[in-house]
Amino acid sequence: MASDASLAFEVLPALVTFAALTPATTPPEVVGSMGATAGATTAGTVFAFFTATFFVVATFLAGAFLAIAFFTGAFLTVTFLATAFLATAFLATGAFFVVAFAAAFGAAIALLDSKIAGSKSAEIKATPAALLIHLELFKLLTILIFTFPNFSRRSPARMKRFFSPMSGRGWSAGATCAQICSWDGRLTPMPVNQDFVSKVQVFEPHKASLPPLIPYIKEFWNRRVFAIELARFNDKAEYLGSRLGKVWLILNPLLLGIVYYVVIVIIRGGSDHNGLTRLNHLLIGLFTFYFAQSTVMAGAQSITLGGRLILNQAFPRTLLPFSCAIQAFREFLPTIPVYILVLLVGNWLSPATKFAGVSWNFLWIPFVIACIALTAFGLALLFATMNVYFRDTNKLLTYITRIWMYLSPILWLPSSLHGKSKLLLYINPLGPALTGNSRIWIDDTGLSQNVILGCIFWAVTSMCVGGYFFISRERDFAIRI
Amino acid sequence: MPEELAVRIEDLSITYKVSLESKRTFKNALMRASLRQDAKMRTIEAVKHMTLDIPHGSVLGIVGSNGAGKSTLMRCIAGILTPTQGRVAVNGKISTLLALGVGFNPALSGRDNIILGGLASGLSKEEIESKTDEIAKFADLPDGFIDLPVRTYSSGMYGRLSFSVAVTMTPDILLLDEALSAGDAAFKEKSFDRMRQLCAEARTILIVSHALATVTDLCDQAIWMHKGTMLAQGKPDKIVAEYLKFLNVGTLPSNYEDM
Repeated sequence: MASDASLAFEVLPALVTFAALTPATTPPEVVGSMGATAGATTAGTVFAFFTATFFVVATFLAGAFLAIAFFTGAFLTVTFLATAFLATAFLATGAFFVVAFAAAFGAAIALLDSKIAGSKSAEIKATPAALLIHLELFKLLTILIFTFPNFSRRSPARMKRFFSPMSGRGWSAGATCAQICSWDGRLTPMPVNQDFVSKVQVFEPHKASLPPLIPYIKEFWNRRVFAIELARFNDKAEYLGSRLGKVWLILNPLLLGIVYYVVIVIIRGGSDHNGLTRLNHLLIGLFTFYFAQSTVMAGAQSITLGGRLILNQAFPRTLLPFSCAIQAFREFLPTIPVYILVLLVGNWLSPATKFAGVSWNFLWIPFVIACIALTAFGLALLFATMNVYFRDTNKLLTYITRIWMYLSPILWLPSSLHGKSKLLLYINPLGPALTGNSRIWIDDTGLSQNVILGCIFWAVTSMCVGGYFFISRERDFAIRI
Repeated sequence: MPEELAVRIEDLSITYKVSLESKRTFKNALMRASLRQDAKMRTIEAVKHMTLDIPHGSVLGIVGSNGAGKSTLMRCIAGILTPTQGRVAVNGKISTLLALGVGFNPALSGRDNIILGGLASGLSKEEIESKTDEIAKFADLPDGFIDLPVRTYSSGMYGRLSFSVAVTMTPDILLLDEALSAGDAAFKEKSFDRMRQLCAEARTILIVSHALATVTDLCDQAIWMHKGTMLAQGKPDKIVAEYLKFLNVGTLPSNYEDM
């Protein structure tokens, strides 16, 4: 949560600049060209940044070598020549790849921007979201570029092997282990002495990658109380010492929502004809997104942080991310009354604010929330597994969730997308659900068929993919913690 | 599996690979792959071809120097680690005390932690709630400590509480790893009594201990493990004497050298 607050302060200046550059009245074609310019600027900035980095590193190296040579008094000329050569070579190879990479990247962004600008909407391109996405992509690019030069020396076959999820070295380091050592949770009832619980457990290596699912699910169901209580006790422990306690759970997204509102609507100078409708859309979107985000982020860490439990107790490991999902849900629930309060107050202050009232459409909400929970839980399982093998997954995840938020219909309205750009909503795992959510709460309309199908598709896909990855590898966790 | 057996271990081997990297990160993997380096891995054979039957009602002591594979064996019997080869069959409900305070949250009270620890080891909520007072009584904490956060406990009190949670479960098979050192002399006597009581109820206990007196006092069977293999099995007195001789001399007895 703290990182989100810092996020607001980090992006605020950028938002203000962009908002100042893009008045709400800018005609679409101007905005389009701005998008293309942004793409070109992207390439330029990246190039300048990396050239500068390489230059600094090379200069530093040269300086260090010179200092050593000076103090030892020997080999002065040789050292100097070697350093100069090294620096030039470093700069040259680095610059070559950076130019190639940045050019391709800039072109792609420019293309994307011109596509978006080409659509009829004035909404998405004018929102700061576009700029924020650029910013986040920069950061990802930074990570990629640092490792890119090494890749040039790899043969295509090896590259393919590395990226292929099931067979590559990086990914399957654990697969061989998972294949040879896994426990079989088969429970065969057997008549034994009445003094004992008549249950024989057999542990032996088996070939199948998944354990028998029915006993697994039974065991999960039997142990569900453990996950629920773990969530409750974690909640209790977390807010035991803090004076405002659980109020922070509500204050944090509320304040962040207001910050975004100030930036998007007030600073941009846009006049909102619908009173505070935009604020309501933003708040319900943020609250719901936070539920998904904390499920994924906390769930991804639950295995690596639960080391002692995993080493010393046998239980279905899915219970730990599940417990995180429950905790996220417990934290999400109190934000709904807050949203309703804001809605009522907003309506009282500015009668133009859309006010949905109560209708049968609200019965869709449990469905939408369930879909969001399943999607997020599946993703949590996937990232939790990755985090066991690569401990820096969590760092990457902070960027991924931020990009994810800007790509979700929270800071912008789903209705601002037209034509092909509408696909953006459906590529995003939470896109359909968040669209539907906002439609129910704000417009008091039911869900369209596409949204329903989208919700179900992402919930099922994410549970299948995440569940498969997690359950097939969880028997390997104890030796990797 | 014969009914009188609690645990049957057949030709069990446990092997695992550990990475020699300080931290396994995506960045490292990417760099390594791009430089065509293989991950620095080391294969550890923790348990090698072990066969053992443990009948119900026996108290088995396991002795051996550090790294002999004792804890790995315990974890495998508990179903936490998976065999690489062979088979482990367990007949009955297992309770483990492999480390102190598993599942405990230091910020919460002793009472809350009893519930948390009980649920972690597989009890239902009703079962553990009905036993909370009994456990608190057994742990015999000073006045009022049971409602204080566990972080305020002394390490002895912490150990007593977590030991009490494990033994009040009435498991069929209890796995203990160096846990008897919890608490002071009085509590040790109490925990010995409780273990004898569990044995009298024909429950099976496996104890890993470096306190050899514990093994001779409590156990009716003992095994000696050395570098993953089981060197000897027999009466505790005999095993402990041989193990002590090995510790003093530093070499294996000549009759074990072939193994």
